[in-house]
Formats: sequence, structure tokens, C-alpha cells
Amino acid sequence: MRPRRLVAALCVAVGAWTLGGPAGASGDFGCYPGWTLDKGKPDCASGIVLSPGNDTRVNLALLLRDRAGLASRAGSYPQLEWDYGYAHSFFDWQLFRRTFFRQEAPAQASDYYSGSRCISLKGGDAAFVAAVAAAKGLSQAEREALVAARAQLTPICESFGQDYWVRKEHPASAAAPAWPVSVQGKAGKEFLAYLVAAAAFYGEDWGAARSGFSALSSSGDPWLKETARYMLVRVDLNAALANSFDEWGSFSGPEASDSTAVAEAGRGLAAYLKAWPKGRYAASAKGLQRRVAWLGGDLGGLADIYEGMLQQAAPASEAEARLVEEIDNKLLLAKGAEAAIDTPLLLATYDLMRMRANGEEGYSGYGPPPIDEAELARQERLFAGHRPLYDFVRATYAFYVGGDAQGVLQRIPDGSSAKSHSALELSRQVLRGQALAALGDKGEEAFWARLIPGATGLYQRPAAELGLALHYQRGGRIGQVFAAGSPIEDSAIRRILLERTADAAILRAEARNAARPAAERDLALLTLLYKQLSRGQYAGFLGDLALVPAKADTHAGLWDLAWRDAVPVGLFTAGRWSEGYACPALRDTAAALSRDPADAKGRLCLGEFYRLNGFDDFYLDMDGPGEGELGGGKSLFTGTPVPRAAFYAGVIADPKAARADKAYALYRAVMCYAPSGNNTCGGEEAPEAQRKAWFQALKRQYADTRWARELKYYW
Amino acid sequence: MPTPDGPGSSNITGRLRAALCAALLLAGCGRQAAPVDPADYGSFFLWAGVAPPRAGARAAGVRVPSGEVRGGDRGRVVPRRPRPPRARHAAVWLVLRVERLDWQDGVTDQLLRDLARWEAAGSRLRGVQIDFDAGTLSLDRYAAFLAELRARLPARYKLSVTGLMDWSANGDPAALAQLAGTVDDVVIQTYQGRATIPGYEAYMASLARLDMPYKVALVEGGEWTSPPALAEDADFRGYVVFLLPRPLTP
Repeated sequence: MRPRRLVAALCVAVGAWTLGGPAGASGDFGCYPGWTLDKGKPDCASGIVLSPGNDTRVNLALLLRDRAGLASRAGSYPQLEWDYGYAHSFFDWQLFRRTFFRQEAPAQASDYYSGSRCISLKGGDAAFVAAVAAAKGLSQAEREALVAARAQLTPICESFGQDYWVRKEHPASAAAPAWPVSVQGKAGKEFLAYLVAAAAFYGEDWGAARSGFSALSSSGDPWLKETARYMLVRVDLNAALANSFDEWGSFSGPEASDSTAVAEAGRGLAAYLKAWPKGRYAASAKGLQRRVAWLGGDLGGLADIYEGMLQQAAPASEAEARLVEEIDNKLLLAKGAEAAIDTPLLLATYDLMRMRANGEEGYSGYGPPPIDEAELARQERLFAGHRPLYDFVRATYAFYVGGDAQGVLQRIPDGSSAKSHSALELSRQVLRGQALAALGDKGEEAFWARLIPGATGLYQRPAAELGLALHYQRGGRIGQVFAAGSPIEDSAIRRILLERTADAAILRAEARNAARPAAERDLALLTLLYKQLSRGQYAGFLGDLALVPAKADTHAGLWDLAWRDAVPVGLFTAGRWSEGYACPALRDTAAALSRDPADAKGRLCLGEFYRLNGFDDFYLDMDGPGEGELGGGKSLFTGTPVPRAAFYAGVIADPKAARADKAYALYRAVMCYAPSGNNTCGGEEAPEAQRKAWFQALKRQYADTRWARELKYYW
Repeated sequence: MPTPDGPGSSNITGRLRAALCAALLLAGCGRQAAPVDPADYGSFFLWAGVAPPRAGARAAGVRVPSGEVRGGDRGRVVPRRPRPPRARHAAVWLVLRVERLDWQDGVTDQLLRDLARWEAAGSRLRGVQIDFDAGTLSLDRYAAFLAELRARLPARYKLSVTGLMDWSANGDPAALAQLAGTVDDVVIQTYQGRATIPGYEAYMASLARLDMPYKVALVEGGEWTSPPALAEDADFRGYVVFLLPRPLTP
């Protein structure tokens, strides 16, 4: 098992403090999700079935896809630069976003200022030029002087010394602008006053900016008047955040903002939109109303705005994806959102999050408070017109929180035979399948078999196949997964069972199964050969060695074999056989052990094979998937692996063993603990006194051997 | 003089505990598993959006995420921190989370601009930490990427990377050697989510094979028993504690 990264539970809480960036119930991109359908708490990845464990953004986006009827469409799976084990069953939000939403080319020009108020600088340049050109009462010289003077705003944006952008070579603050003295007419002075106020705005002098724009808000020039009114709101919103960033640059949350300034901004926006309902800045002003609601803690208002935006968003557009991210970040993770969310899709998403399992210690305060049956019952009217969704939410509660699988069957009728499934319907049916499994229902196998053909959408079929595979695993019947005509086609599902659970007969058949991908066949063969060898089934091993193809890979490494394109099955025919202590090819070693399993040289040489080819601590015989996860069932492969430590102990204790072999066994037994004192040979750790005894035996009784001479220490 | 990044850098209890443990190691004191308390450490890792470290006021070093290069967009750094840090008392590392290595040219420029910006804000900027989940298989590619980045970084900045505990066990020795020649240190992550990874002792034992300076990253509140061999490893440079956010409701 490799380390997983930060899991969702943490991110949920983190997101509440994040400004701008996406947050939410996301995992990191390097993760090893549990191969099960039961997702009652966040894993590091999400699946195509709506669940409490999914990233909230994924759940919401799945529901949105249904509005456009997109879920059952076939498509192509994303090409991963590196598959950490997602296969066709798991994804994180970023991958989901890449797969299901259109991507716009990232904006280049304004990127330098994105995320700061200077984002309006360049667009403002052009607007100012146009306004100056259109204004009455300006001389040509004044127009030219004003346009030239505006250029002095750029250095301010590039040099917010201690707070924002910095000029590359000169990180000090910009010099104060020198305004043209030649502009003396009334109109000209107003435009100049506008530039002075704008400089104060970009330079964070809120008081000066406010009084400057205020003076212009009754200007005779229509552009100046409208723009000044709009800019006053932006001043208030920026001023509201003056004390919202700590010494590490982190956002301290909307509650740290200045509520007076936020309220003032809200009034300013309403007044602006009343006076200029289709004004130059109307779209921006509507967006800023969202910001006012967020900073002002008006979650009800925010939820209403978001619902309206969701209705308008173009399905699968980049804008919709960004909206989902914002809703997650600003609403779903906000404290107190349970009192504000009252529309079906948002509510379902939120309810699922509130069903997450909290572990033995109970609700820790991370994320929203848990939901209960009574609250769900009260929500019924809010789901009017969305009965299947409401039933799914109730059934999810029954399954994951209430422990009432029967309740799932009552709320969700069998719809497994449909020719295609929406995201919601597939989720409903998979949940029904999970309930059938929990109840040990006789109809479970047939249920999954019916569901699979209609699971036509991307990621849908592997989810249904996983249900069937887990059913077979629970019954100890994974042979069915590999039987002729099996509907379980997903390579990752098959590979996990091959490496963890399959018996020799299944592995042998799959190693020869030409209908399957080469890496899957090679994994079956490598598993077969390794397990026969390590369990002392030498005759079987010798028989199956012929299945290794000529020029088979020997370099691919021995980890994460289920996700890899190359499996080093060639190690058994063309690996390294010896290093100092002479050994024949593995085939001859296995033949010797087949004749006499206690053959000293055979044992030592098999140990050499493990040691020299990377089989020490081989993951197939170490900790595997958890109980209930795919591959976590009892292995059908017979026998118990014998670690190489046992070979050395056996040869040391063998009165018939040759002197040179005994010396080498002692040498290797000690070396198992080099150089860290950590056992790399498997089996029980030998106490240090034992290692010392081996060392001394080698030094005293076999002093004349090469191995006694080479060994200087024990560990 | 306690090491700046070691346990107990300025905390008398921690210092006593460390001394006691050193003295009683053979008696098994080192085997007592205790939850990681930030008060015992001096170096921290902040996650984007996490409130200031409670121990931050006296922190010696803080690793601060700045943004990320996402899998879907190789053209830019998506910022994750609204303002540069301005704390002057601690050495600061700018941490960049990276999902892919095939950056377009502008990304490194953006990183260099951020470094200048942070420095101008008053940070005592020590260097850059790249947080990339390099599978052991792609370590050679990662090493090549880091060498290119190193070449563009001003020499006054150090280069650090997040490492996984299985690198030393499973990583290609040649790639690790290349990595060792490029980065100034590796921060080995020992946790998953909010907990220390079970069986970390076995991974830690293999760290002795990692031939480069490294720090060990612990998670706040996670289990941690310092393996006896760790303190003896000349490459071990102390701890970094990953701070957890405070709950939404107290």
C-alpha cells in the first residue's frame, strides 16, 4: 500500500476558508480508492453513483447532467498521464471536469492580473479612451494628455509593494503619479479627478478613492457618472476585505469582512441597477450582488442566486463547471447552509454530504451537522416534482445511516431492465443492488446481470460490473467472473481478482485467454508462477513456465501491477539467478526442489531468485484490500507462502546440508537485517540474540569460508 | 542549541521529552506512541485555506502553498493564496502543488513572479517546494523536470520536494541519485488524510537507503513514534508538521 494523500474529510473543512480556489470534498490526485460500492464517507476519489462519499461537486454535476439527458451517453474515457488506480471506476473532480465539461482555452491577456482588482485595468484603458473621445467640452490637447496620463495606473498595478503584484526588478512601491497640469477645463478636470480616484483604487487608498468617485457620481458626463457609481461599489467591496488576510496571506473568512462596507456596497449595487438596469456594468453588478450576499453572510440570498444561475447555465459548459465549484466553495461548505438551501438539486447534494459517516468519535465539527430522519421527512415538500430524487435521498439515508436495507427496497423499485439510465436512476438501481447484497437476497445476481447491459454511460457499466463481481466474491465464486459469457469485462476488476483472489486454474486459463489484453494475461501468469513457487508447488510451476512468452518483459517493476501496461513475467525465464553464490536457471532450481523440497542448494537459490529480482516484501503477499472490497475476500489459491527466511533456517538446521551451503545460509540469515535492522526476508523477526548467534556460528565454525570472511557485522 | 526544525525547538516540555527519550531509548521510551502536538515542533506545513498555525507565532519555518498546476491546464499556476505571506519571523517556503510536469513556458515565469512578490511582501523566503505525487516509476522523469526547474531558479532559493515513504523501498536507485543531486531536501510524507499511515515504521526503516537530506512530515494529531534509527541517520534533518484546520463548529 502506498501513502494516500489528503482525503476529503479534511478538504471539506479546509474549503470553508478558501477564497477563490476550488475546494470541497475533493481528494488529491494520487490515491488508491477502495474498490467497493459502499461509499458512506469520503474516499480519495468519487464514482459515477451519487453517494455521501462522493465529492459534493461531482454529486451536483451528476444531477445537472441529468437535466440535459447526458448521463447515459457513451464516450471515451480520459487518457491518464499516470493511472494511480482509478481505472474506469473512479475519478476526482478535476478528472471529472476534464471528461464531462467543455474546456475553454485559458485567457492569456488578463492572466497577469487575475484574482486581483487590477483585472479591470486593461479593459478600463480602452473604455477610458472611448469615453474621453466621446466627452463634450474637451480640447484635443486635453484628450491626449488624459489618455497619456492613464498609463500611470499600470505601474501601480504592477507594484502593490507589500500587497499585490510586484514589478520584476523593482519590488518597491510605484512612484506617485504626476498628473498633467495642462488640463484646466471643467470637463477635463473631472476626467482627471477620475484618474486620481482610479489610482487611489488600484493603490489601495480606499478613503481617497471613495471621496474621488463620490464627487463624480453627479457628473454631467454620462460615462463618468455611471462609472463612478459603479466604482464606489468596488471600493466598498475591496475596503470590506481590508482586514481579511492574515500574516500568512490566508483569507480569514467572510465573517472577518467589514459588514458596514458590505452593506453599503449592497445598497450601491441596488441603486446602480435601478438607475442603469442595462448599464455598462450591469452584468458585473449582478455578479457583485453574489459577492455581497456571500460576504454579508446572506446564505439564503446566495442560495437563491445560485439556483437561478444553475437554471441558466449551459449544460456541460465551462461556466457550469465553474459555477459548481463556486457553489461548493461558497455555499455548501458555509456554516449554517442547512437553513438556506431549499431547492431540490442543491438540497439533495447537501443532504448526501450530511449523511457522511463520522466514525466512532461522532461528529467532530468538520463539515455541516449530520442530518436525521425527521429533517428529511420535513423536506418532502421542497422536493415537489422530484419524487425519484427524494426517494433516493431517503433510501440513501436508510442504507448508510439507518442500517435499513429493506427500506431501500421499499423506496426504490426494480428498474434494472431499462435500456439506459440517467445518473440518478443508475444511482438508485446500484443502491438497490447494494441493499439486495446486504440482505443476502437470492435475486441479487440476476439483478446485477440485468443492470449491466443498460449501463451505457461512461463509468456506468464498471459500477454495475463491480456489484456483480463483489457478489461472486462474497460467495467464493469468482470463477463466474472469468467464465465464458461473463458480462464482467472491466480489466481492472478482473485484474484485482486475478492477483488477489483467483486460484491456479483460473489464473492458468486467463493466462491463455487470447480475448483479453496482454497485460491482463501477463498478470495472471505472473501471479500463477509466483504463487506456485512461493507455496512450494514446484511441479505446477515447471509445467506452467512454458506459458511465458519469448522476450517477455523483465524490467517493469513489481508494484501496482493491476494498473500497468507491462508486467515483468519474463523474470521467471530470464531473471538474475546468482550473485556470488552460484545458482542455475530458476527452471533447474525448481526442478531440484520438485524432486526434494528440502534440497539445500535449491532453497538457497530460490532465495537468491527472490532477492535478486525484487520479490522481497512482494505486495501480493502483504496487506491487501480491506474486507468487503474487491480482492479483499479469501484467496482461493491454496497453500501458504514460504518466506526466504525459512529457507535459511531450514538449511542451517539441516544436518545433511553441505558445509558451504550452511555457511551461505548463515550469511544470508544475518544479511536479512542489513543495513537497518529491518527484516527483508519475511517471516517472524528473529531476535537480535539470534542474529548474533548466527554471526558467531559463521565466524567460528565456518571461518575458512568466503562468507565468513565477507561478513563484518550483524544488525 | 536545539535544531530549528526538530521537536522541542523552543518548548521546554518537548525538549525534556526529547532528552528523556534519548536517554531511555533502550528502555523503550521511544516506543511510546503519542499524538503529534504542534507545540513540540518548530516547522509547519499550511494547507491552502487553513487558518494561521496556532504554533505559528513562534514557528521557525512555515511551508505555505501558493497555487497549483492542474492536470487540465499546463499553461498556468492557479493561485490558491489571495495574498503573499508577510510574516517576518519565520523562514517561508513557497509550496507549489503540481499535477503534471509538461509545463508551458509561462508557468515557470509565473512561479518566478510569485517568488519576487512574496519576497517583496516581507517574507523571509527560503525556497520552493514542489508537491508532486511522483509514482516511484516516474521518478526519472521527475528528476529531469526538477533539474530544469533548478536551472531557472535564482541560486539564493533552495529547491525541495515532497516525497513518499516508499521511494526508498521501491524507487529506481539511479533516478533517486539524480534527484539527490538536484534538490536540497525531500520532505517525506508519513500520513494519509488526518492519520499517520499504519506500518510507517517499516517504511521509515528503509529511509536509511535514501541517500539525500530529508525531513519527515507528520500530521497534527497523528500517531508518531520516532524510529530509533532515524536520529542516527546523518541525512535526517528534522520534522515538518502538517497542520489541520479547525473544525467548523467548536
